Amino acid sequence: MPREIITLQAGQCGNQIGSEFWRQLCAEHGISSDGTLEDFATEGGDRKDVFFYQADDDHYIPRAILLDLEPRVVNNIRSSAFANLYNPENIFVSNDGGGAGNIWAHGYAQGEKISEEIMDMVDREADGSDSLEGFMLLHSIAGGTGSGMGSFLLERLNDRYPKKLIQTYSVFPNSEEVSDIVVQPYNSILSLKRLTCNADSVVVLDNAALARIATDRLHIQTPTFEQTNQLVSTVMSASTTTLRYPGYMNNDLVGMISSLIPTPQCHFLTTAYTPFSSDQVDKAKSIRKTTVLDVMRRLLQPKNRMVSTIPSKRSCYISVLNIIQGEADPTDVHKSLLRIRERRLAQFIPWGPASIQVALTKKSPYVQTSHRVSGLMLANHTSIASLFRRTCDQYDKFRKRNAFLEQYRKEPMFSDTLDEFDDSRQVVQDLIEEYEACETPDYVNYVSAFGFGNTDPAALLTNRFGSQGQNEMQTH
Amino acid sequence: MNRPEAIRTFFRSSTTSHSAANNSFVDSPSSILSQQSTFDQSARGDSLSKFGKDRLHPPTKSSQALESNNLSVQKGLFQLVQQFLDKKDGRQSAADTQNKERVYERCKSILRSIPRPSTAQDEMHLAGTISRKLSLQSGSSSKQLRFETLLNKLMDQNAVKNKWAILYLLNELSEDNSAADISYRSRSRMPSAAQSDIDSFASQGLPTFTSPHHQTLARTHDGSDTSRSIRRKVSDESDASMDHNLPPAQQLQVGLRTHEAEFSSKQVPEAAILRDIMFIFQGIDGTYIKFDAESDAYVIDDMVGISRSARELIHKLTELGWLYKRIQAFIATNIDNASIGLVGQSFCSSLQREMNDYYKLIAVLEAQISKNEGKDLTFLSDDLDTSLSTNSLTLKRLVVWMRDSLQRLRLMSVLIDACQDQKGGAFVSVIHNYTKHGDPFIQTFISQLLEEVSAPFWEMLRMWIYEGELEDPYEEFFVGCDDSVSEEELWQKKYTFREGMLPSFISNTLAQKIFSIGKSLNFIRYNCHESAVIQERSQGHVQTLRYGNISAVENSIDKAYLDTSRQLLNILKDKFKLMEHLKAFKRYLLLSQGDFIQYLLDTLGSGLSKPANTLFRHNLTGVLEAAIRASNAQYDDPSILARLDVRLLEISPQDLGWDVFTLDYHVDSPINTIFTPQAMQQYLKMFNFLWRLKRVEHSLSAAWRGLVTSGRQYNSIPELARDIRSAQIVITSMIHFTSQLQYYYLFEVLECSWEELSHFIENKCIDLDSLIDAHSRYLTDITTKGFLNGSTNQMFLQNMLLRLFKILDTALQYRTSLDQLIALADYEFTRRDANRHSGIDTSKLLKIRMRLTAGAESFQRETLDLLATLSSYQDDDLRSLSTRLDYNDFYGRSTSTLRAG
Repeated sequence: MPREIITLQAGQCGNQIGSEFWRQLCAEHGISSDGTLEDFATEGGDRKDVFFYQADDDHYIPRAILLDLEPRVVNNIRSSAFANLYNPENIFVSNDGGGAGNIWAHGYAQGEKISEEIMDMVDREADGSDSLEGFMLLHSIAGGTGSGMGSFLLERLNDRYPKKLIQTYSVFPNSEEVSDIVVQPYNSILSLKRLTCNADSVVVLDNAALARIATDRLHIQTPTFEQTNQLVSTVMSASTTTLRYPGYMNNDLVGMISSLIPTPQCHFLTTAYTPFSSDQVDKAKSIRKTTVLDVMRRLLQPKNRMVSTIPSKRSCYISVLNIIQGEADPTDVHKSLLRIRERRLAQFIPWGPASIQVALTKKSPYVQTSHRVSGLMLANHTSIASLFRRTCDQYDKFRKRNAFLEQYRKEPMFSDTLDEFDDSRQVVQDLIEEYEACETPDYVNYVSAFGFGNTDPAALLTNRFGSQGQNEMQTH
Repeated sequence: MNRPEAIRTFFRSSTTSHSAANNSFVDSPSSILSQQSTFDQSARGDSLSKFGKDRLHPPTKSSQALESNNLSVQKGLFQLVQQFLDKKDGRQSAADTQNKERVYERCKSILRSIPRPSTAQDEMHLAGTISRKLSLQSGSSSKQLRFETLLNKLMDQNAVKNKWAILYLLNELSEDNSAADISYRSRSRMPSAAQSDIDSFASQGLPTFTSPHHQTLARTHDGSDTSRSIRRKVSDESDASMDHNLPPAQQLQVGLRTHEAEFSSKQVPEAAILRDIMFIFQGIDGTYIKFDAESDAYVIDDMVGISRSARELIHKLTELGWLYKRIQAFIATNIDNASIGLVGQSFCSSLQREMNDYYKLIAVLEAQISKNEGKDLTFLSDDLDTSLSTNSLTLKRLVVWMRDSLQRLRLMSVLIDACQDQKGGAFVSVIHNYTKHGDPFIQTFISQLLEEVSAPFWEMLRMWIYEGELEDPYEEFFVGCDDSVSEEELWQKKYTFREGMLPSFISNTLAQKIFSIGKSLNFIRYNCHESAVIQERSQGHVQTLRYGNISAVENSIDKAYLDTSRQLLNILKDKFKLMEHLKAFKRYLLLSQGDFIQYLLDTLGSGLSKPANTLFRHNLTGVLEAAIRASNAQYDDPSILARLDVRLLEISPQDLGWDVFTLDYHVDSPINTIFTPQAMQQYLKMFNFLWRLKRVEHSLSAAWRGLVTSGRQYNSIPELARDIRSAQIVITSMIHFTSQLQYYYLFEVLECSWEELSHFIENKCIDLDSLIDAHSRYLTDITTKGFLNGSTNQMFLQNMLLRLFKILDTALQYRTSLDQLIALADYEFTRRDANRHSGIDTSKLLKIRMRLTAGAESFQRETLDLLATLSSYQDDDLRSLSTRLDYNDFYGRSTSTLRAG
């Protein structure tokens, strides 16, 4: 029973990081681009069946469902070297090919329209698993398809598979730059509500931070999406190593996130990775001695974090899991932990026990890297609220003027009322307050707003009918 | 070899050494150079003419005063010198001339010194000197005996005159060159001596030259302390005080003669006494001297007319007889006595051999005596000197001659005493202790004896270290074998180390290595069934082990030790997959194969919660098989997986399945030598604990999943919001506790120790013992650090373990209460969903709430207690655990607030 995870990649961004992710997994497991096992991939110890299944002819096929409302990215994948990797039955591209036009409401509505087809795929994949652990959704929250259809999927999956875990890798828009998607605050707010209410764990990836890391750490002046997507896939593959290389601990998703997420609402995880090196850029190769302490210390530095947050004085870690890959000396772990505690490099919640967990995992023998040890940090940090607050601020500016709402009103969900916006805004507000409460010792006695929530998904579902196609724009 | 030939051989070998001495006599660095340069045939031709030119040469000045034959000798000599020293280009420097002169003088002095030695012309004395020298040089009496035989034959020769001169020549020739070298150097350091040499030569000439020569010789040998120079000096002194015409030995003899003549009337002839003594030497009573059992000594009949001094001598000599009897008795009783062991028998046989040498000596002496008698009858010489020198054997001489034998016999007798009731290695040890004697004679004698005596020991050693066989019928070796021990326990119990049988020349570490080598060989043969390896080895080795060169022995033992150990380890690693087994233990019994364990927990979970007596082993085996197939364990070596098994421990009433379930790993020979039953027990103990921990973790994360996934639904039940929330927080803190505890076990306990072990096996492991040690150290480490075992602080560890169990149990109980809460919530949810009617079962909720609160409180209290206990110990491991459990000082703070409150 491999505790399978089904990956759903929605929209342009989702499919792009998804294809990078599968490329990375294939490289790490020694699977060739057509799914056959490479001759050199004889060393056991890795579990391929969490993310792949074997077809009758022993080909490895990703447990992935590719969804998009416009064909461009999926066609790219179909024409790439990895075209034959995927199960063609698991690729869905909208017939009209119009896309969601960067409008959350369109994406959501189209999702509803095609829900049967999609859920068929999901059910088929779920039936093909012995003991499904959960789903992994890859998407961005700024555009139309990833955010709208992604949100729909979250609700639907939650409904259909209430006992399965749902983890998302959500790319947040670069809020520091003026985006080419005007309505991204609307999309973000609406998606955030679903991420809060319908996902169990959200790994927040921030385009701003990814671009910054690409520029600072990899010395790429104008990083392409491919390059930032590579960063994402590195993080994704690192965060799943404990699932793919079974060890004493953290062999399943629930074990991993149960120690990271103490209360269900505070499930937005930030990541940090070190050392980054890119295959395309030679300069990025850092010739540094990497020890466990080095890695752990660097993981705590803001510049390696993949989310741009503005920590306050009270911001603190709710939990930390460091996944360290490579030839790490287990005796170093404790020393490093002590050192970090001595130096007060990390501040923790005052209302319960918290610590830095360290998992040492194998590194794939088939992927050569220039560094001995690399590390990924999955952290639950209260400063993530600042990201939500920024989104709220941007949303509020638009919402005050009711700007750009025409496209949304075209969908039945918003045709009569904009309550959905206000409701989402409220959920995000509650979330921010929850995180703020989390910084105080009294959090134990805090009564979450979610306890009295009006977020019954079943009730919401009943109000929605119809959908309208719209032209799609760049969603990043 | 006939006689002339023997003499010739002797002569030949001596001349070579003598010529070498001559060379070095001349050789100084410069002369070697010049010598080489004159090895040119053309230069030799005109050397004579050159001599003519060098008329101004100092030695030629006095040439007129010499007789013509002397002159010709001198001339020839000088010519020779010239020929050797002249450079071929004819150029002469002042230094060359001086050098030539010096060499010429040296040659002259040699010529003068040889025919006139200062010692008495005493053949017997000289023969004694030679024989002593031989015995010292060769260290055994065989050469000496041969010399004496040859000497006897020489003495029998009537045709050869001047026998003393022959002996003297031979002796001088055999004298090594070091003495000459020293005398040369000392002379060259004394130019004045050389000068006086020349002067005296110049004034008196060669033939009449005596006393000045003595003086110079004496002087030239000043500072060098070779025996020869001392002897000469002594003789010089006696020359000065006594009659110059006779050497001292002769004077003494003359004195003795006159003295004996006074008492000659009722004397027993010395020849008769000598005969008697010969008998006594062989343990037979003589005519005059008999063994007296009462005083345990030989006594001389008082009535017999023997002078007091002679009695003394006889008394000394009879000791030999006494010793002989003793030794002979020992040999006779023990040579066929198996109980004294092989070493003892070999001791007897070498005693026997020594006795044979002794017999030979007596035979020689007897021949001497009979010759003496013959001489006495046939011719009475009027020449005092000749009669004295040929009339060889006297009591006194006998004493001298027998001195070495006496010492040998004494030593043997001492050894016989010392070795009473000893055997084998102990026997050898006893004898070995005598090699530390300061006297080189005793040292060499014992060493030689020991070489023979220890031969059986070395043979045993050889068999043991090259073939692993113990051929030790009399238990003499320092390795004992217990045949009753089964092969299973071969390594641990079969062979014992006999401390007492360890020869003292073998150090303890070396002995341990030897012990290990043989054990390894037997292990390879009987447990690993790889006898081919040993066959190959034993054939490959021709290294002879023997006494005397202990460092060589050490080397070959070291080599054998390393070879054997490496071989054994390689067999264990390659053929018997030692490392794979170790890893398998780590993977399965120490739970590091996480997915496999997870499957077991997933599948067995519900079954194990039932009473233990409802479990059936075959069901569990099925689950095990499934778990292997479903996890990465399927890629493991099938031979390893076949050893994996489930077992149910002894069931006591009220036990749940969890309490009796255990994984097991079957080990057989030979790897069960490493995975001993004790080790297995430790593994199982560790498994039991980790399994328990894992179960709690599994259960808690399932609870978490339930709370998180279905928790979304319960949002619609506001009455439960607070309960669910606090349950989430408590569950999280419990998860934190168990995962931190697991991290502690994983890193501090398991991985660190494993790292150490695998590093050791990879790099430092030399033999099986060290491997077993390392492995048991590893197990002790993990069980001690894991609070499961500990020689020190037993109470504390027990306490710790109980506390941990308590906390884990609390967590499980909490989980049960939580399940009730979730069940209630589920019930409510479906009820409300159906008729949207509120009104919760408050009494039930209150009960559950109480239980939950109590559970949470006791968990917190127990955790605080545990941390308090941990912090009271200054142990690094314990501290690291408490650091992990309370990394953000949450518990620390709550303790202080509790105190403050």
